[in-house]
Amino acid sequence: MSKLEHARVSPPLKWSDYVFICLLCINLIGVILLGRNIYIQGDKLEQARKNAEFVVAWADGVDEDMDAGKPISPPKCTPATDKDLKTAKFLPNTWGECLADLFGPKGQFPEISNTFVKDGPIWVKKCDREHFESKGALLFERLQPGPTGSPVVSELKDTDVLLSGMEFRINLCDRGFRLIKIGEAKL
Amino acid sequence: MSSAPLSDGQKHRSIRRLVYDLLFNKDNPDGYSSVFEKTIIIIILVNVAALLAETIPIIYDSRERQFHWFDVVSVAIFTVEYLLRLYVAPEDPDFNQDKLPRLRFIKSPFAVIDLIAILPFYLAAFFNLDLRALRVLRLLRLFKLLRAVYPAVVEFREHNRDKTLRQKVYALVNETPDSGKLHEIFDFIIVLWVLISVICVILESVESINYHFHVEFIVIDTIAVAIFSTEFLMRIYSCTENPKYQHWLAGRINFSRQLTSLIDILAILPFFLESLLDHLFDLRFLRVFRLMRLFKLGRYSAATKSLFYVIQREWPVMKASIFIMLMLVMLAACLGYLFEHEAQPDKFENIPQSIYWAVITLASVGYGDISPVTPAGRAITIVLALLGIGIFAIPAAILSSAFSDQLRIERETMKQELYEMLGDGIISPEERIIIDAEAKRLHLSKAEVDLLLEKAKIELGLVSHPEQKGHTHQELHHTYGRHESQLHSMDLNYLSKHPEAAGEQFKILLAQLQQLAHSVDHERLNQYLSDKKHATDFQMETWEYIAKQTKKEP
Repeated sequence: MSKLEHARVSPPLKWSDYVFICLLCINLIGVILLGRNIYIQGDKLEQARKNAEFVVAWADGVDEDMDAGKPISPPKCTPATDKDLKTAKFLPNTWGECLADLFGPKGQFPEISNTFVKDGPIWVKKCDREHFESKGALLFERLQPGPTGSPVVSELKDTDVLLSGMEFRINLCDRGFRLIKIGEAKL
Repeated sequence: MSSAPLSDGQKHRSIRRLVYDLLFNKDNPDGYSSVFEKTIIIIILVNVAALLAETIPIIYDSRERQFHWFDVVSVAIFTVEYLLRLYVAPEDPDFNQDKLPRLRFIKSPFAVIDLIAILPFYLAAFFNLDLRALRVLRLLRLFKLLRAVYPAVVEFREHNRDKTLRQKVYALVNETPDSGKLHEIFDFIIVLWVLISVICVILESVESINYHFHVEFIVIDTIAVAIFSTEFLMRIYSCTENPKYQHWLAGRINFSRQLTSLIDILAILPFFLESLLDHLFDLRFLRVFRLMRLFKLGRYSAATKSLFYVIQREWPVMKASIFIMLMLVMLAACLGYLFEHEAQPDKFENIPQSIYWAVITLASVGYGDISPVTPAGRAITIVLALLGIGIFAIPAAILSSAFSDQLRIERETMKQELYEMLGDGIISPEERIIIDAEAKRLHLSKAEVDLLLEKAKIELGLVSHPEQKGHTHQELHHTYGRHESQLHSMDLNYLSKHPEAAGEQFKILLAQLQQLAHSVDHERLNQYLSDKKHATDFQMETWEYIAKQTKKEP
């Protein structure tokens, strides 16, 4: 190496250079970790969305099975027809019973769980920031025809009777406790 | 003049040379090597994007055929490129020193990368390769970009060999004489990611798209933030190399307060806030701020910089104009409310509602959702509409005139730089590149630049007078507006650096003085100069000496 080339060698790194390199690394690691966390949350949301879509598909199937006169699975989700309601000793199924059976071990979706909170509820009444476990849960809303023609959304209570033709909306509570509309179905 | 016909070998060589000069010779200014290289880079980037898109079933499943054909076309282009490079290898100075230049080319790292990029496609035709493995192998096409990046890295290292890390970082993120092509690549990456991330933010707002690509958007946003935050840190760290921000702390704080730095911060902040605080607050509104990334492009546009500078410079005048505008809006709103409130209490409900009406009328938008019905209200509207045309035009006119003024100043500055470059009498290729870049920025045509150069040469005494060359003095003066006094100072500037020319100039001046001494009335001139108000002692003595010498000579 010539003298000139020797003279053109980079000066050694100073402490400020090391601080900068450390900051760069910390920033990159931080962004990657945060990004990974958001990715995992996004992935969980994707899974929860798929689960909710299965429920929408099941509800659509109920409507078709009812029309075809086939038995509904689980039986606790069989909606009452006008004819059933006129029968004196008929005990109609309720929404709460249906959901318990639907997601129960012997139900249609035993494998579905809350993807965000381990052992968290599968469905909730309200998507609430103050209730951490509501994250990732399904939320069902009843749709009733309103006076202006557009449907009126109301809470679907556990005690509500399952009626044939009953319309409801399936939502998902996302990681920021916001509702994501998945679909609408009719029993 | 006739020439001997070319032999087959010579013809072959001339075609090979032609292909090399046209597509691969970077030193050939008339060639297309830059266009060819850029086209290949774009195809590589689109290939990588297509490869990523193939992993998304909703995109790939319904367009499998199109993806396949795109791959076929890409491989065909890369194959042609490889074969062309192989063909012209004997013309390439990197390989033609060898006895077997083509073999040397095949063994070169870039050629190996090129081959690896296309080989999996051909191998798949003979062997039953797993689709996922094939996709991974196709990712190797990304390495083809090294052909563009590697020389830039070498050039950057060479230029900045003796510099500190901070100086190198500064040269990378800012345009300096030592930045080279690597800085251009750095800018390209930033601009590319700004565009990608802004497109993603826009698409994210479409529910049906976000539904299917939620996870993909997260990945893209994370990469964008990693790039932008690294860029921001690099800028903050290296800003002290700029004389304006020399102090290690105060300089960095001042730099962070610049508009461009604030935009940089706003571009990355939503990601950190949303990922850290989303479970505590509803921070969805922050997503809109990611669109601020678009403003990052302002850094790369000279026109935007000029516009910001013009607004900053003309701000006091603009403020006055805005103040008048606000006064008029308030006055019109109050009058509108006064005359119309009783007639239309639902529309002119209050003064804020009337302000909306006044602004819409003044700005000549006129939605028509609120309109006056009383005669007095309509009369006000007529006056308002007429005034609006003028009042809203004032800031536009100020900006427009200031903008053209700024352009003129910048052109003057360029002229000054030209004079400095011509100090040694020649324009080197490096100086020519700088001139061309500056001319492009200032929207000067090649003819205008040539005229400017010619004018500068004339003023520096490097060539003869313009009128002899077919340009009128008015024409040149109109284009460049230079004063005669400036011309003389430029002459002196030139003469001070060229003693031989200064000697000749001295002789010319002396001859002129002698001519003056011969022709002038000595008595009257002596009388004039002897007055202390008209000449100094030195001037008087010099004149007496010249007059005496002139009398001695026949």
